[in-house]
Amino acid sequence: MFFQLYRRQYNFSLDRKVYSLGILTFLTMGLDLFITIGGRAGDGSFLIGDILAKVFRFIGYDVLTYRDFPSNIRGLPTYYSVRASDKPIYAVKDFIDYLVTFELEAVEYFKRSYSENTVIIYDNSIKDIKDLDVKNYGVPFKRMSISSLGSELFKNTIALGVLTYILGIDEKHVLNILMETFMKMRKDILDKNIKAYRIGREYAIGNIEGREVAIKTIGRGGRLLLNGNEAIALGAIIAGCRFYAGYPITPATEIMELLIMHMPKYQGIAVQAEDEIAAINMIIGASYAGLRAMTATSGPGFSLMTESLSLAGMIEVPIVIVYVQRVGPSTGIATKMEQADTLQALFSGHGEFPRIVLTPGTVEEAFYMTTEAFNLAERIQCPVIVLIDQFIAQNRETVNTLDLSRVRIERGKLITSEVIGDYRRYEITDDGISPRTIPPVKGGIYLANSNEHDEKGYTAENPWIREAMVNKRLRKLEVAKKTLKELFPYKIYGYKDARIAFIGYGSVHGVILEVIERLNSKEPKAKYLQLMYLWPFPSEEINEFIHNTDKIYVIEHNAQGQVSELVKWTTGVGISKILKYDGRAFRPIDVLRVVENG
Amino acid sequence: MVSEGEFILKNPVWCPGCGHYAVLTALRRAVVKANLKPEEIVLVTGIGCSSRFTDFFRSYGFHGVHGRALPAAIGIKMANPRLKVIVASGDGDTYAIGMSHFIHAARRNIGITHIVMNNQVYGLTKGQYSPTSVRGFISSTSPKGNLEKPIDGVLLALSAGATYIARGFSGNLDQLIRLIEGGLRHKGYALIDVLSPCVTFNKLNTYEWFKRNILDIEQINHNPSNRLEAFKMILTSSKILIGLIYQSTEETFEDLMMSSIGGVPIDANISLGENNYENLIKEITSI
Repeated sequence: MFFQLYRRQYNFSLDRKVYSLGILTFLTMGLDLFITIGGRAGDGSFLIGDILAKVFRFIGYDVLTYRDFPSNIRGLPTYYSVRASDKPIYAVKDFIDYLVTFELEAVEYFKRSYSENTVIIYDNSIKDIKDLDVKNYGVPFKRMSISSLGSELFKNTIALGVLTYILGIDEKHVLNILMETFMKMRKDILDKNIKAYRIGREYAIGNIEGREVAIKTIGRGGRLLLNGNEAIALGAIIAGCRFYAGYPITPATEIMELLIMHMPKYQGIAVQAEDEIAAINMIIGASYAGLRAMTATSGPGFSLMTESLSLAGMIEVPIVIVYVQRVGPSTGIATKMEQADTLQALFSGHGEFPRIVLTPGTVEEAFYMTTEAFNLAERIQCPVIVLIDQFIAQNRETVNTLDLSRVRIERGKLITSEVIGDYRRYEITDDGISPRTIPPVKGGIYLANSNEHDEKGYTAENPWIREAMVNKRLRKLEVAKKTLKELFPYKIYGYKDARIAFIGYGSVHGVILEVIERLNSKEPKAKYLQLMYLWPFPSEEINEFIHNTDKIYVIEHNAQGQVSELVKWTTGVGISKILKYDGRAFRPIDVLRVVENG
Repeated sequence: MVSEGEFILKNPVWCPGCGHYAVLTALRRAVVKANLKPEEIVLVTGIGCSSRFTDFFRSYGFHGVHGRALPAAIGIKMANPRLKVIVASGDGDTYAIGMSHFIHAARRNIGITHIVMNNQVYGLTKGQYSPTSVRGFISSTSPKGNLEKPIDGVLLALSAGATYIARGFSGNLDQLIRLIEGGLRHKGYALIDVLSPCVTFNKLNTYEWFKRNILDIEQINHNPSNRLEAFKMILTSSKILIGLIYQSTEETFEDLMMSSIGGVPIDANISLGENNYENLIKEITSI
């Protein structure tokens, strides 16, 4: 144990030597702050983290937040980081600029994330920390809160007062957001928080010599602060989803809570089912009856759903499943990020049937791709999985105003008026997609049949019908391939002719963007292919992309390199895997270190 | 008036003498009596001999996976409460693998007519004991006799808050038609548990056995609107009760849902031009 701590310290000083120069350059390019607020669950660090994020957004900065918290309601350490910059940001920063903490253990926990620019502001109500080789201020947050406001509940807002003074943020902006946040609560809570903020600010004026920075308003307001779960809930309603069934599971629950709150306003119904099996069967039923329907879950819940995923494939009912990955196997770590269910999302379910797996890499992409998921499900008549992970789901970032003119509703071969003549729901067609009626359309009666069936849906076991039906269903994959290429034409970031190639999907998107930006700052040497969908697998795109490269890195948050193996399988060339599976986000430095060591 | 013939898709094929023939006939006659049309019915089945219904009964049909007929039916009913949603399932589908959905459907009081063909054995997999098999029942998976107590679906439904609970018998077609018709006309969840003998794999619970062991509750003085009385009858009777055991009037899930969302989900206009999403974006983004 002691040895490990020692080693960590050693690594930390190594980090500083090698990369401090890079960091300085980074800072001089413009304002780019990484602030971490630490405490125990119940200390209110998330609340002031959110307030801080909103303040930065309001005064015009790009914001990205990162939550590191336990699967627990009170008492365990929770950390909320806010990165704010005047240039676009995509990932967490290598090192912390400001650590504000109510618990001394955070000081140890983040040791590897300090640079010579780091400032620690900690609660010294119980004791002072001696011999800290990082610039630090001890502030009695808890003591001040108890003595002035009668409870330690307000220490977080006091800390906000201290921090925003040090950062030189105009008082009126902080007060604005404080008012907005606490207005919904009781009047005395608002008053006490305003008072707490002032106490913190006064303390800083009297006790902290000089300001560290002076953050200016840069007037780029009007943008949204949104996390992936919120973006997906919004996307679903706007795409016309009017049925949701789900079962609470971290980190996907917020989607259900938001839809239960907002869907009724648009005459839709969102329900909490008795389990995930019920949830997926309910959405299949609702979709059969003509509604755009969705569920959201995480690994354990998706595992329960897989039998009925095959059902949706067999009866060709369009459904959307939002799959928010967390650390597994089994219960794993419910509140942390991982991409270890990727192969489960791609291959689970018995039998062969078409599916589409979309992998948005940002909150903004999560919004637009969710709206498109409903079109794809109805056009191709198959299950569509929107695969993200806890990082995108629960961390807020600034998003440009959502452009509703980019959203379309296309319902494919749906028939809602009387059918004249001989109707065959599973008619063998060239593209494999057949006309779909919904009850009570006259002349449209059919059986949605989990048994192999004939063109009308009635049970059939003849070898020629069986074969024709398998072929018909699988032909839809070809349509999916073509449609996905049109919808999400693949983008290469960096230099087209670069010899170092990166491939990634989902939550590693941001970190790869920063990595190639830094690699290319001196000479053009890196490029990056973001995989926007993983099924049908984009083999052609990958093969084209890796042509004429010396080194191919696939970056993933899992231990075996699941997509790396698929890339190897489709290209037949050697792939270098950069993997992280400790539940925390890649920092650019984690990737750069591997690349620079060859 | 729609005729019984309109609900015939194919002639059924089960073992000769199977109780399910009478249930299918009863359902066809009940929907005619209830004045329903094939297009406005969705018949939902799971897996088992009983779930062959969707291959024989003409209406919109949904043949899903084992044990999950109810949640699929619930999704259909919530999407469009104007549809008449009927579930046909067996004792395995309902009281084993799908047990939790059965309890939750009952307590939701959602408007589904649920016919359970209870033959106390697994027929389609060739004769294993089921959750309603009696103790000591010999089967391929209980060669020395079943060790478990049987489940009483009627008693469970009564506890779970179902608002229409009946038990029929394949050997009593007229009553069965009436019970199913009553279920179709009932507002809310209706359970019709049907004693439907499996002539191939259950040599114990035969037509003759049932005739000796059932008591028609409608022939004695029973008030089906009294829940306590219904409990008492079930718990104290030495015979298996058939007939309408309990019925009450309560708000249905779909009524509560429609009043909370102001309409029927399938009627919602989802076109982008018809909806104001600006407020929604504001509400969701102002954390």
